[in-house]
Formats: sequence, C-alpha cells, structure tokens
Amino acid sequence: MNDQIAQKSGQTSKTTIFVLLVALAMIIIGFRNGEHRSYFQKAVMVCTQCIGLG
Amino acid sequence: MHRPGLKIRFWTQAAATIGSNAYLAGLKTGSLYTGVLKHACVPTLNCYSCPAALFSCPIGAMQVTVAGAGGLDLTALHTIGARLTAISTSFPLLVIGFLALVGGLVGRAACGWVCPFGWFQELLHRIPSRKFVGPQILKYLKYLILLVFVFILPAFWLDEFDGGEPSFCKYLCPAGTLEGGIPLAWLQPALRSQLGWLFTWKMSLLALLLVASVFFKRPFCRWGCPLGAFYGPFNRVSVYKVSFDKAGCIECGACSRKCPVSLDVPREIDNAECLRCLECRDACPKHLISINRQARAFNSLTHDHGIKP
Repeated sequence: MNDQIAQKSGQTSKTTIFVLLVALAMIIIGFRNGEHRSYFQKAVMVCTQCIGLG
Repeated sequence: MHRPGLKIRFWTQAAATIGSNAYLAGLKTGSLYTGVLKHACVPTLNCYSCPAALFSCPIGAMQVTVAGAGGLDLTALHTIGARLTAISTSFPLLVIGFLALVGGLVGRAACGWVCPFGWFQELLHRIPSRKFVGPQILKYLKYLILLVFVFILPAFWLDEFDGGEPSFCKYLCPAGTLEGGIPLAWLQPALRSQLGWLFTWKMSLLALLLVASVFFKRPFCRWGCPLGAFYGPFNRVSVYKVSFDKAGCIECGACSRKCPVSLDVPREIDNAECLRCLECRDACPKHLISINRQARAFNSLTHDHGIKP
C-alpha cells in the first residue's frame, strides 16, 4: 500500500517538475518575443472595454 | 478557538490588495500608472484600468495578446486559416507560462490568499444573513467562460479593423467594473458622460454578484472566474498540496462549514475547486488536515536526481 502511494507521489512529482519546466520555457520564449510589451501598451491606457465604455 | 492561520490569511489578502493597488496618485487624479511594473502581471484578477493598479491583469493580458494577433498587419486576416496562423505567432506564452508556474507551485492558493476580488466577496459574506451552498453544476461555467470569452471570442470575433477585443473584460468582468469602471467614472467627468448600455449591463452584473456574495460563498470564484478555471487543474499536480487523513475523520463537518467555496472537505479536499486556504485545517478538531505531503515527495525526488528545488 505504502509502495503504491509512494509510486503515485513519485509520478505526480515528475508531472509537477514537467509542468514547472514547461512553464519556465514558455515564460522565457514569451519574454523573448516581447509579449509583455503588447499588453503593457494596453495596460497603461484606460481600457474602454474594462470600464464598460465599449 | 484560536486560529492563527485565518488571521494570517486575512492580512495576506489585505496586503496583496493594497500592494497591487498602491498607486495613490491615480486615485487622486484618475490617471493610470504607466511605469515599468505594468510589464508584469499579478497572479490574480486585478484590473489594470484601476487608477491605483501597479501591475497588469493576467486575464486581460491574455485576451489582448490573442486579440492583437497579427499586429498592425491587417492584410489577409479574413479567413479562419489566416487568423489561426496569426494567433499561432502571437499566443500568450508569457502569461500562460507565468500562470502555469504559479499553478504548478501552489495550485489555486493565489485565489485563496492574494486575490483582491475573492477577498472582497469573503468580506461581503460576513454580512449576517441566511447562507446557501448553490448548485454545484455551475462550477463548470467558469471553464466555458475561459474558453469562449478569453480565447475564442478575442481570437475570432473581429471588428471592422480586423482586430479582436477582450470579450471577458468587455462583457463580464466584475472586477473591471468595480476597480476600473466605477473609480474612473467618478474621477473623470468626461468619461462619465459617455457611459451607456454596456456600463449599465456591467454594473447590473456587478450588483447581482455582490448581492449573491452575501448569500453564497465566493460565487464569482466558484462559478465565473476564468483564472480559477485556469488554476483549477493544477491543484492535482502542484508542489503545495493539502492532504487529509480520512481514517481518523469523525464526520463532524467543521471543515466543510469553514470552507470558503462550500466544498464537502472530506471528499473534495484536493479537487480543482480547493483554494488551499487552510481554513479546513484550522477548523479540524482532530488535526487531520495537513500540507506539503506532495512538497515532501517533490523534495525527495529532486534530491534523488540531484536537482535543487
């Protein structure tokens, strides 16, 4: 029983590490693409959609 | 009962709300913060059009990136294939990666510990009244909202200039109305004079939600928040997990009564709806709920492979 739990925990941990590594890779690629600049332009001006102006 | 964890969470929520909305000059003048911090997103729903906001909203940022696919090149975007090509080159990797990192580390804990709008709903729920659980089926609505209003509509519902628009922000987001719409309408008379049916619609949604928050626990988080929908599946794999020793449970129900999202804690403690707030742990008279079993397994695995966590 304990072996099964340990095996399941190990599998989940591998999945966790995979998720974290993919997330880091996406962050790096997105940053290199300059994605933050595109939403920055929107974020520093009044978003007419957000405030209900249309 | 002394519950130090709850006080810590309350003050963490307060600090996060103030910390992410600390541009006080904006509250005076109605202008937005335009500094370098807005290149970064907070891990919660916090409107970047709030005059006090220091950071960007990840849901807004995702929609803007998807909607802006193709940039200023407006040629050949009329077919679905061309649009898909444009989106594939402008997919919100940075924001999704950031949210996946947060989700992979702590699951939905960001919702439970640092979301200003979630905190606001919790405060409203303290108003004395009859309380209800609400239909569980509604929890699936938020996944539909994430898919349709955050990805599909911004990507494919184009305006006359062949650009998409942030549909969730425009038609649904109550945080945008509360944090951006109301303060800006108050502070900028020129804007106030232009508000029409859309503002009325969004104000009605917000009012409905705020009233619902008095009777239901965190209704927007449970039923409508696309960010909660995004984080939810990460609860299964996150480093920070909550575990429950079922063998010792006396079924007293104390944990479920305290749960801010009305979970049946002994059976649903670690599902996609759990906010990792630890209210159940603090309420359990038998101390059967604990954290970090997964974190311990994660540590042993990474040490076995020589990776430092």
